[in-house]
Amino acid sequence: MSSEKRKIAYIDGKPYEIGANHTSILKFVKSYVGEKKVPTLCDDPNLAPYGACRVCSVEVALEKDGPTRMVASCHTPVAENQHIFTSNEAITNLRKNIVELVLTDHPMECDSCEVNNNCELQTVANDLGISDHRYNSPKQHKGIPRDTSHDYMRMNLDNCINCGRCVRACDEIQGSFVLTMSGRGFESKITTDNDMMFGDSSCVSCGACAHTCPTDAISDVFMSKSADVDEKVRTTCSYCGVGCNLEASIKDNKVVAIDTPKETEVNAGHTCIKGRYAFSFYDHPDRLKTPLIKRNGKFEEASWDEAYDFIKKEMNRITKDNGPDAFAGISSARCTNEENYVFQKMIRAAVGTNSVDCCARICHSPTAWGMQQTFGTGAATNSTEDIYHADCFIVIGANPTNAHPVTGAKIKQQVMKGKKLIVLDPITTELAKLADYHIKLRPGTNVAVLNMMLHYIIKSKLYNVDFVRDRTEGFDNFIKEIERQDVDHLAKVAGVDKQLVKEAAIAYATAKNSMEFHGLGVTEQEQGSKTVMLIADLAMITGNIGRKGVGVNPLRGQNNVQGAADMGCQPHQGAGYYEVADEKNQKFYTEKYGVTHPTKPGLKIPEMFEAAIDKELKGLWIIGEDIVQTDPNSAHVVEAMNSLELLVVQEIFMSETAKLATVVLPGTTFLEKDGTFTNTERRIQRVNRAVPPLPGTKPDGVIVTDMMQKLGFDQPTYDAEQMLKEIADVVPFFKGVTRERLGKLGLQWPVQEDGTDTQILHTESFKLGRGRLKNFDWKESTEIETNKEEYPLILTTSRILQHYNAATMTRRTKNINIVDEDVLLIHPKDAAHRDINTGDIGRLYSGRGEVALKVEVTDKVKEGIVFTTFHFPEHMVNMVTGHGKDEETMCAEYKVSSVEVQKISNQFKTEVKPKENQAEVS
Amino acid sequence: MSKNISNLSGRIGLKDNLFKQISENTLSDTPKDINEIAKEHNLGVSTLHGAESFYEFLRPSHREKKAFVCNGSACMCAGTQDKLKDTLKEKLGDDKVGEMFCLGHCYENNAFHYDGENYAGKDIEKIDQILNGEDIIQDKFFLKVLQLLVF
Amino acid sequence: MDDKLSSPNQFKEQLNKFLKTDKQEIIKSLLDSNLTGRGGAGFPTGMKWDFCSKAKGDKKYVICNADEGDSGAFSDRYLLEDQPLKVIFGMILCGMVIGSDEGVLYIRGEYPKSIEAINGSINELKKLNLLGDNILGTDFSFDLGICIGQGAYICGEETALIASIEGRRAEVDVRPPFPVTEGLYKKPTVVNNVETLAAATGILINGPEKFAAIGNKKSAGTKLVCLDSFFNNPGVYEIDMGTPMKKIFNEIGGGYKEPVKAFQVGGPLGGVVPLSEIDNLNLDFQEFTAKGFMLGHASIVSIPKDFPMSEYIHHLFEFSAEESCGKCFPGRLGSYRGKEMFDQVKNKTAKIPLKLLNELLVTMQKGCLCALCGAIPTPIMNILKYFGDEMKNDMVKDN
Repeated sequence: MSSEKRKIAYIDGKPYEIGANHTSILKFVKSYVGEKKVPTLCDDPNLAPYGACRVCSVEVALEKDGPTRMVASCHTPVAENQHIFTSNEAITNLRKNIVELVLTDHPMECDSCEVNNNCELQTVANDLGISDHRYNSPKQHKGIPRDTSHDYMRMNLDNCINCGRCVRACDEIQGSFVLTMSGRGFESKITTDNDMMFGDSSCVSCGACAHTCPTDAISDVFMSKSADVDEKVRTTCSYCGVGCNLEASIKDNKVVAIDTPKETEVNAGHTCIKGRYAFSFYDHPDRLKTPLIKRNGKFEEASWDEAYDFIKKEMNRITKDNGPDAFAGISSARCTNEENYVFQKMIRAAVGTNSVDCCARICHSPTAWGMQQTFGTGAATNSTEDIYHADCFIVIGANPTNAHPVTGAKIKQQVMKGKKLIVLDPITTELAKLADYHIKLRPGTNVAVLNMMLHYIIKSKLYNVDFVRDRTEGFDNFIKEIERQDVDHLAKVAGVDKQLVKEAAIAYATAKNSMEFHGLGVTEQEQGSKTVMLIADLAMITGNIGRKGVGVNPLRGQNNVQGAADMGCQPHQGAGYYEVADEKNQKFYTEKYGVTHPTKPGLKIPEMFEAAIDKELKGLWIIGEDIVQTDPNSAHVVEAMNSLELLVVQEIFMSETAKLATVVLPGTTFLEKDGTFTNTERRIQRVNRAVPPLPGTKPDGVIVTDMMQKLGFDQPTYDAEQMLKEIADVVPFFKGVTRERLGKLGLQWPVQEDGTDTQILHTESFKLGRGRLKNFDWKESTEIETNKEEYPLILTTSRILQHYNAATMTRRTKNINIVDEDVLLIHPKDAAHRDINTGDIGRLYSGRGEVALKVEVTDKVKEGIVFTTFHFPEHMVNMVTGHGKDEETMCAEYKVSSVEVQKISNQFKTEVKPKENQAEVS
Repeated sequence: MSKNISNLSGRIGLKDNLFKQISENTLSDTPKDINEIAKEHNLGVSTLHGAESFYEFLRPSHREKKAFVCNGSACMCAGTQDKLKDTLKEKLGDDKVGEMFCLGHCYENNAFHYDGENYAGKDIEKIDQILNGEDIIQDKFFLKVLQLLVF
Repeated sequence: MDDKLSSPNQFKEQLNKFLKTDKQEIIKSLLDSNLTGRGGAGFPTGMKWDFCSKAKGDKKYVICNADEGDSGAFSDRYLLEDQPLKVIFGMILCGMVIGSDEGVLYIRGEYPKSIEAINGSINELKKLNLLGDNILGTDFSFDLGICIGQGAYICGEETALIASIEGRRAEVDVRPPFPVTEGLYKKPTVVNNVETLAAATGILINGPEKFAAIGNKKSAGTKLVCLDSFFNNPGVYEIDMGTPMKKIFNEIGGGYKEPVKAFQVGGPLGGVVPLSEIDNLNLDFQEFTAKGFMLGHASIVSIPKDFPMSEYIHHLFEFSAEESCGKCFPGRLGSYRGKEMFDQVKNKTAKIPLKLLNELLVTMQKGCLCALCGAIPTPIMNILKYFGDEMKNDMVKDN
């Protein structure tokens, strides 16, 4: 390969080497002589070349001094020995004339335009020296009313230059196909859906169109493209585990708009409605602005010192009388790595107990456990970039177009272009509609279906002999157990077609590169950890580990749940995942923290509730987690909280949990602090402070450090950079991480001392050496076993695009106008039996509690299943969910609750169908 | 452009292709809402709307008209179309006569399109019969083959 | 062209023969004949079939471009209505060679009789097992259908045609990739004009040598030429390439019924040849291009002596503005602004700004994405050159 001749082409007479990524003359020229050499209008590096504006025209000759012809550089390939001329009289005249033509149909009102001084048309026209046109009375498209119907998007078609970038972005990046050009020729115009207003359309407000629009034809209410800002701060989103890179526009110390930077590894200028537009929660009037202490049942304002002293007194009392294990902490997966680290340090080193946990407990703890048992590392094996190298995708129990929009969009793009897709989901999600194989299984039967798939692969001898032989152990026993599986019975329990599962299994096994994604549909079940281990088996026996385009990739929900776990916020493993019960590790931590590290594994969150009710746990400190709304069986959680003697809640809003606190401490959002988040592909990215903390609040790391000092622990004053250095010293896979090295693009752990990061895990061997193949039989969920007679329906809950979990943040933005309630989806057959129609109010109830919800009848849900979201405290859907837990990790069984539905009234029965995007599952 | 739409359309296939579905739907007497067609095929309704609005024959303004005179260069140069247009307007109404570009009767001119059929040459003289729905006999043109003409 | 393929029986006979022929031989035959695309683009047909046969793909398509919208052209119409079997035969052979089992004829909606005729032929052939599954009992299956154009001239451009069938807007796509590698539904596709397919049929049946012997290497064989009603003998004629134009007009066409001053050759995008230049031209693609005209589809529209040229230019601009897909800037805006200029002349509200007009024409010619708005300057520039005098009162030279 190294003997391949260098291919040369000439730019304005000088020779340059043609690189592999120079797919067009434009790219070739840009990479060597700069971005500004050749002007463009319809080009966007994130979109396929379009060839509409022709402003990028250059002249090329096949040989030196040969005859030239004019071509558009954006879509013409660069050829060996080509002579390219970037500007001469003919080219400049052409560009000038084209821009002049554009100006004949463009209002020349730059001064009052949002994008004055940030407009691509303005820039190109100025560079060419064009400011007017010579045409006599040209017809113009102007006076088109601005479309302000949408809560966020704005359309001002007077300024549209028909470059088509918005249409292409909605097609090639987001994949929603909301925008199109309609009409023909001179009368072509941008249209939404079939000529709807933005507000009535199927738009999901990802803002990709506004972002790419070169003028202000499409923008947003925040005027995110205005150049009138003081500065722009790059940071990382605090909603989901994708970890989009964002750019906050600051004016007068306020965040006025959010946009996406062009150069990122994760999201290439794209994000979703939450990341881009739902940021106004940060300075919402509901923000907590002062510490509060509850006296006589009422909250009283207090100073920080007062609050700290109160807490210290109570904590000391509790631990003195009952031992340190009478205290526990729940950390926040939305806080930074630094904050999570220092919090678990406080609980372990300053208080002296291992009872610290985080929301991974109710989300991906089975993933961490299962993958640690099979591979040795409980994190995504590959990177999001691998999506471009996969030939087959399998998505199990996840709805990424809702919950991880940018990743979901990337998968959708590949699938639309013909890559195979297998979806295991009881709901027909957006991806399921496009899937080659949608296995619509009953919740609680993941193990059954995976056993079927493994069975078919083994029986058809489609497993990867080399990989199994060289990289795994336990195959002989594995085969025996798999062959024993009764696929007919399993198909029946799961309610799926045997043939479909067989074909899906064969597709997965025979594809060159098969990539797996899974979400909480896998983990939040009684056999969650077992399911994860079977998924690992599937990947191992087919050799889909350790290279590009494959892997086992959990879609971590929160922006930093990976980080919270990495930093040690679990009761059995400390920072860096060392088992606390191990003497060797205790020595290590003791040395690092300077204090004897506790060895007894602590309480998991569900155990904390039990212990509180039993009066063994007396004190609890919670950061940024609304367990009352989000944990299952809310009544039980409330009882637990009310049983405590001291409940400290560190929050940004008065959440349902904060309402029950003894002390409330006001923390800050991601926009007001420095730190790092680790996303779902193990990428550690910088969070950069955009604005100072709101008056009265303190960054969460500062609060915890202050408290540690109050408790007499020698912890230096909180500084994100310093803390990261400390982490690098303790957590082995953070060894080479510094704030500076993270730069703009972040690094994926493990990061070596010299700063080299790791895109793909297990390339040579697993952390355990060989991967361990495990077997499990399917077992019916206890919840269903116990309750199916009285409560024959199965409730499964999840999220939608517009709101985030408890929606404490999104409900305090305009997203509330788009979706303002949880809606119950029910299958037509089940609805008919219960005489329920769309628009009715239904009583959803279980052995634990009940809730009233508006109903929508649809066949998106499998028969026997009902579905809703949990975003609204007014409904408190978790009153209904149950006690089921994953057997290994106690992860809550949200996906399987036995329920029944009854019609309450048809008071709201109208002819109007629920809006397209209201509680839209797909 | 749009690899996505090309691929998604490919799933529908050529036999009953998307273009056919869109045009037949628009031209039918009881058209479905294109939202339905879009949902069926996992496409955005904007795609179908954008395509539908592109074609002359699928636009409401075209479908309101009944007859169309050819406005191709040959008929234009021959000067036959103004009179033709007037005759048709007289018979059908001023707003019921539109234009189509080149019906392929450049050798005889006087070309117009009515109710799914093309007429030209002397056919306009039988206009009343045509409007009554009768089939008229039309002249066919001829071919002379001169394969081996050497200059 | 002859009568060797006008009945289903002859069809069957020939098809039988060719089903047993080696694909490479068929390609070689076409290459040897020097047949180039008859729709106007002029790409060597043998090469196109060869590239597509080599392209990787599990599914391939054959498309017949029967969207002949050029004014003055009715040769495709003739072939579809009178010699459909020759066209269909060409498609089947193409399918055989490239490895396709499905094809479609995209026929413009303005040709209802052509649609009827082709439909009839397809049905007849299907009944006789000459189309559809397992043709004549072999492994080869080929299905054929029709797509009816809905009034868009731009669909004659191959990428726009493909977009149209896919249900997208018929906007022109960038090339590369070319349809032979990524065409309909992004699968390898051959798009051929009606006349090309019929010619291919003739070549394969009669042998390539005869075809190659006529004309020269780049403009080989015969061409269908359409003469309009200004000639004493209007109609469609199959004429050898290289024949002098004056012979075609005077001998075959029989001279003109009334005085003419120019001819637009090759459709609205073709060059406008003044009468004086006719003597200097032969029926040859390269000769026409060299002189600044375009032979294209070889349709002849006569412009009578007293027809005002400014009105003709207006007609051309109006045509391109109406039919422009609207994607590229110089096309969408340029054609409309040009039309406005001549609207103003017609309405006598302004004169033609000649300098600006010339810049506009160069801009469109060099900048446009495809030949619709990109070639419309050709006839207009011809008219300005040869008939500028006629319009000089309507022009302003300095602006």
